[in-house]
Amino acid sequence: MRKSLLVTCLGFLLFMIQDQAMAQLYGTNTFEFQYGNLPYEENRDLTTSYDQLDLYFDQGNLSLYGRTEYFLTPFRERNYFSLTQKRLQYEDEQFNIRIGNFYETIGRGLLLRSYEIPGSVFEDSFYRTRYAFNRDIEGLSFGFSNDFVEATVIRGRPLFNPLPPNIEPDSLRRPELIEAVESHFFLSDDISIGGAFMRLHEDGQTDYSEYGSLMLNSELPLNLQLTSEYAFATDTDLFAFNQKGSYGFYAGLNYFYDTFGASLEYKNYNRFTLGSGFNNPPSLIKEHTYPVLNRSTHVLSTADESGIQLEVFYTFAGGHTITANYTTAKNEVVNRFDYKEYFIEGNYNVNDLLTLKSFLDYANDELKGEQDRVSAGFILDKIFDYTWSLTLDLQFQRFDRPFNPNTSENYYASLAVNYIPDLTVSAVFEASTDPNLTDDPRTLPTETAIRTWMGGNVRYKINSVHTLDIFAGKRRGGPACTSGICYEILDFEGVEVRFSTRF
Amino acid sequence: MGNRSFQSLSMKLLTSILFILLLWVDSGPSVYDIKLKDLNNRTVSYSEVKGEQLTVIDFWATWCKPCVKSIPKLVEMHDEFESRGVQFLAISLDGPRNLNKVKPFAKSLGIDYPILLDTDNNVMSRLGVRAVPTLLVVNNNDEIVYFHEGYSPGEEQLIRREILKQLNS
Repeated sequence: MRKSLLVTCLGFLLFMIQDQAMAQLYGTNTFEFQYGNLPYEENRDLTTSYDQLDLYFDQGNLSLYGRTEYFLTPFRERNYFSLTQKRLQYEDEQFNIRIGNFYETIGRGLLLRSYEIPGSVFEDSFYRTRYAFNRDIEGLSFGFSNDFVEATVIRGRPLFNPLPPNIEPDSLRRPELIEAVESHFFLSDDISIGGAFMRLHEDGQTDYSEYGSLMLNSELPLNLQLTSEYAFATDTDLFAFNQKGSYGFYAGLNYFYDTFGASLEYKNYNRFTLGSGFNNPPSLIKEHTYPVLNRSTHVLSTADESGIQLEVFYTFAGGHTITANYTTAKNEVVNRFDYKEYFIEGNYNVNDLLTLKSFLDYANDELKGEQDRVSAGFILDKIFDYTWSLTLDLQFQRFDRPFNPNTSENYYASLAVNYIPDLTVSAVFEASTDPNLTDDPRTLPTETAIRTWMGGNVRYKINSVHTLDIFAGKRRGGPACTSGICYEILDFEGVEVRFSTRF
Repeated sequence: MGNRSFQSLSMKLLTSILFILLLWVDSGPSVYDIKLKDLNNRTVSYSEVKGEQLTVIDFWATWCKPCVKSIPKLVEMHDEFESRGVQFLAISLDGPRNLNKVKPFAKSLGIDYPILLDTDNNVMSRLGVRAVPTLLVVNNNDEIVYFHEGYSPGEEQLIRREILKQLNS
């Protein structure tokens, strides 16, 4: 760690003394201050501050990157100040070499997926430390590409991101070493085939686990495109697809004609959680941004899950759109659990100044214990004189839980006013009768009275560099999915101020 | 000196140096020669697809509702400005979960300009993009001359004005 710090400092200083006309320094900074706490904590006036600075220095084909994060609370054990990422990168027309922290995905993520959710700050109820939400790899990556072949070699340690940066020793956050090679060959303009081999060594184990992957991407006639990947442990019978095997199979077919589009996907994953979970195969579950649906998402289990997803889109003349989705999944580890979802949404442009949108969703999620889940919403967007706009968003959800005679209901309402382009003011109201949320964990009886959340947000773009976000009130937490990655957000009551800078 | 205090001191020193440097840095990043995969899994570089006068880069995703609203307006602007050397470029931030939908979704919305895939969000992070959608206008010196976060109906007027301003400058 000491060496890497010195190398980073020296690297920066060496770059600084170079010709400034050839070099550039840029980055982003996010500072977040909170006053308040989780709903059932005793100290209501907890103050925390978090800062994340991302800094890049480019010169020619070389790029140097560093990220520092700090978190400060009255609780010393939660605090840290750390250089959480650093990277030296060389890139030209054919080669890409990265040393340090980087992101890489093999194929469709069946073997390896690393990711970052820019701007996100993660906090878990056990550690109560806030940090950037990402899963990077620390090590070395070498990439090569030309018109006929692309290849990547990786050796590094993926981050186990449930552990925060203040965990000591730091090696606990990267408990395994992976070595992988991936290549793709372009047989023609329409067909490419690929393969990957990965070796996994978990700390404390003497053996390696080995995995392979075969990939195909093909442009077919009639505007069809086929993508598939079959990944497997090397000690598994190839293409046997039996319960003893460790494998993942994904296939996707898509089609378009004029303004109609369709996507059909199939998944079959069995005993395919690798290491601490650094792989992330396509879940084939519709990614919703409507709050009542986003937090109800079915989370993929790579232990045993199979299913399909069909989605169709159509854009009418005038820009009106309709999207429909059908999803089914089956989990069968000990008992069998089925998941089914039917979703439809429409967007109707009444005129240039008024847009109406609505959605309807029906689902059964046996694994989560949600039966006959019905969700619906209506959103209205109205612009006034192209100087300000108003958005009204109303959503409702109901479902039944086994062993609970009462129906659970969720309500969401928000009203936002946007003064184009700099200022947005919004108010959000939520309510729930779900016993999992209405119950106060500090008391013995189960509370069933409706629980409510009310909060206000202000976003002010001060200029092209600085943005200020302020939240005050109660914010409902729960599972959230962004960019295909799902994680848990904690409830919060208080005031939160975020100041973002891009330079 | 303990390992932890050395780290702390080094990082405070590094951060102090960087903050001082930032005081006289007033420009954002240029667009370096981005390399991303296209919808056919081939790697494409920014220099292959950029416009003669301006390049308008739209960071979007299939799951992003404001993106769906903004894309038809961008398609209209692309048709309007293409002959004046303005090239639009769509960079999808969809991960493996939604990649299969990108092509049919984009086609249904009428996108007829290049679409690249930033699956790992590498380019997004490096260009300081924190929200979806975000739109950048880049001049022929690869400098980002306009940065627009989010989209509300009506904001296409601002984008159009900025393109005209840059073309006339």
